[in-house]
Amino acid sequence: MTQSQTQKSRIRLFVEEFRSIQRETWLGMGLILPGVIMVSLIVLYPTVRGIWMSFFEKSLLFPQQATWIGLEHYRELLSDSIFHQALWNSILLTSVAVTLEYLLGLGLAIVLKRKVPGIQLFRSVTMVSWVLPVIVMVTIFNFMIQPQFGVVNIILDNLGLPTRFWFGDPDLAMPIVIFMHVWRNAPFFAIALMASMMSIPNDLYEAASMDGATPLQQFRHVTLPNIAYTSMIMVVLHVIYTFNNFDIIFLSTGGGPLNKTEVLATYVYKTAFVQNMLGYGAAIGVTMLLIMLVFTAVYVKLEDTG
Amino acid sequence: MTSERQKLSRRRFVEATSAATIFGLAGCTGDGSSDGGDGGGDGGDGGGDGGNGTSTSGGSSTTVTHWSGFFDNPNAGEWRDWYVQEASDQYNVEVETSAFSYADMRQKYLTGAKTGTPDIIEGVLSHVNEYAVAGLIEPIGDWAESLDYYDDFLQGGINSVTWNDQLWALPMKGNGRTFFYRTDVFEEMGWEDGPAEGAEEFLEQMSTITNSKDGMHGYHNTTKKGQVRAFQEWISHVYKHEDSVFELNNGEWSVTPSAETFGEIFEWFYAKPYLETDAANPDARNGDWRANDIGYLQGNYACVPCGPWLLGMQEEAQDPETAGNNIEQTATATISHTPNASDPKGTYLETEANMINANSENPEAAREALGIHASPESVKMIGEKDPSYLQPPPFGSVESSIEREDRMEIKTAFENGKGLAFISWGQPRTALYESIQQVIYDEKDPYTAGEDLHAEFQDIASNLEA
Repeated sequence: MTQSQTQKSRIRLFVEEFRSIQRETWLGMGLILPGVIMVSLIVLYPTVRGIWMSFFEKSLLFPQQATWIGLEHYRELLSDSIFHQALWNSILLTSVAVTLEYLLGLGLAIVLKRKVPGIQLFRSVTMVSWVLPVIVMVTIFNFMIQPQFGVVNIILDNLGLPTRFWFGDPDLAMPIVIFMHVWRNAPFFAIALMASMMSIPNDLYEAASMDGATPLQQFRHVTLPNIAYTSMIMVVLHVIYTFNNFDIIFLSTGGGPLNKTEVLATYVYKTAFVQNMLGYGAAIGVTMLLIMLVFTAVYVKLEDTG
Repeated sequence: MTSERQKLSRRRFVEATSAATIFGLAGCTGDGSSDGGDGGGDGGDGGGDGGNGTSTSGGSSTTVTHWSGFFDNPNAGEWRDWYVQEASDQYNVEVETSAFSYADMRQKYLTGAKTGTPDIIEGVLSHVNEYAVAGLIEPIGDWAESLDYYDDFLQGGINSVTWNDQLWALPMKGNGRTFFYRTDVFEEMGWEDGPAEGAEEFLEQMSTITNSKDGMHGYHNTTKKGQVRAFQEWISHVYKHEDSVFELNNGEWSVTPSAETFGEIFEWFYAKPYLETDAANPDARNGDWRANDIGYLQGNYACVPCGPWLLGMQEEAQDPETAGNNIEQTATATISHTPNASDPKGTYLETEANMINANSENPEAAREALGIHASPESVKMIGEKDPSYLQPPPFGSVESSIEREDRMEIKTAFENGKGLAFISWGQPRTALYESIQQVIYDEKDPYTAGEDLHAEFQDIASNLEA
């Protein structure tokens, strides 16, 4: 067979393969098309619209009037001190809260995994904080720390310790917000990690034990690698959730005192829906989107490499 | 072969199904895009009916939607049913009611009013202003004046929803801000006349109470960032100096009070109470309205700025019995004023009012329904369930539920109350919250905060459209 004949045969094969794929896959494409259209409408359109809006001066009161200003909003963000503080607070809240949630969740998962009497009840009770609506949780916390009639302050007072409205203390407001996040989400980490741990075959632990691995080494070399993917998903989801979280802060501190708890999510809301500056709010939203995209890409890449 | 045919047939079936789905989706999208056209047609019909005023004459009823913050209140059922029934009986108008919180309603309305839904919306004063500025509600003056009870409205309520010589809403409920104070505490201190009118003497009273009564501070006000209540309390002080914060003159907006006035208010009602005297509890800064109101009912404060709803909050307190006793011991007084105040009785008047959507497809039917909803009969009926509607009522002929002599200031405050300029208040409020927090946390001295706030307000005013 000459070289040109081989070439022709290859091209024919490729064309046939291509036609075959076309024949076989157009139906599949047709089937996923509605889904693609729906996702485009529900996810892509608002996202693209939000990005587009960030290039315009636009008021919520007159949404039909928009003035193209290009990157002006992004330039303004560079000199907006509240934005800087909100960005820092968002990063601080997210990193500290998710780290604590993961560590506490991991510890709790190890406890919940134990087969001891009453563990089923304990597992159910653990989830209470996670299933409680945010508004209920914040209201309870709010009442608990009221200066004179809150139970926390009553206990502190009885112990001779200083009492105050903790959400009103510039140094303590953010730690309390972080505490609320951890209190709420650590059990969810625990349940997810526990489920992941339960799926690890016992053989692995037995083999490790026979090789003389200590419990700590078993945890390090058997448990942790096997829960890595669940951990990754949980961390990514909770970083996104915490970074975008609006309700806990808005209901508890309103972003105060002195902007110490102002985060990007509350700042977007106030800018767009209180001050009616839709374009500026969209620019902050786009910044949040970019930060989260970069984080997710880097984290997933690092996990893959690991 | 048969198998091949069957396979083909299954495939064709799936193909047909997917094609149908795609066309179905396309159909949805098509409807969406042509909605304006269809809607326009419907709107034309509705408008035609409305224009002819024939919503009562046709055989079929006209449906209007009405959003209010109160329709889902457990006390509101009978009254809501009466309203719906009356609209149906009198005008053949079917009213569909929905309840949302005010913040939720505002957001929904600003983004969706152009669809024509709801036809009637309730809001507080700042919402009336915003919707009017945005062209989302229609002026109703000519129609309202034809109502047989129009002249019965108290002028203060009507003034608050009037702008550019146009009436934009019908008030249903209103309250002027006053001090609510504990008569037993004040009497114990020997101050039978209640809180002093001058700020200096008032703060001395408050400090004395803090130092004399265990577990009680004299004064408290709302300082939480982002709380509208904080703005309302602050503007009550401003209204003792000026009739407005923003004023439209010769087609340009300007800031009426001086920077000095702002500084003075910050000094006497924010810096001194929290930082320089014992009048208020510095550990209660950034407290929200609930901390203020419930704190008062629990006996933590002797005097707070508030509205008449406070008297109906007994069950919301942790200890309703204590709250009930404290309500019994509560009287009202005019809010104290700074040394340079020119109108010591001035205060903020909050109004809850109902408006007609400018994009309503059935404006005539909406007006007919609103005429029933905002009538003295309606206010009387809801007032029986919720006395705050009658403290005082917006009508001269409806009897007020304020009976005690020492609470008459509520009525006076309604008469002396001042509304808001018809602008969007979001930006001024945001600037104010920053200033209040900087003052109470001693980050800025009151007069510098006053100057900065004044400069920010001027900047906002320069960007307002006439």
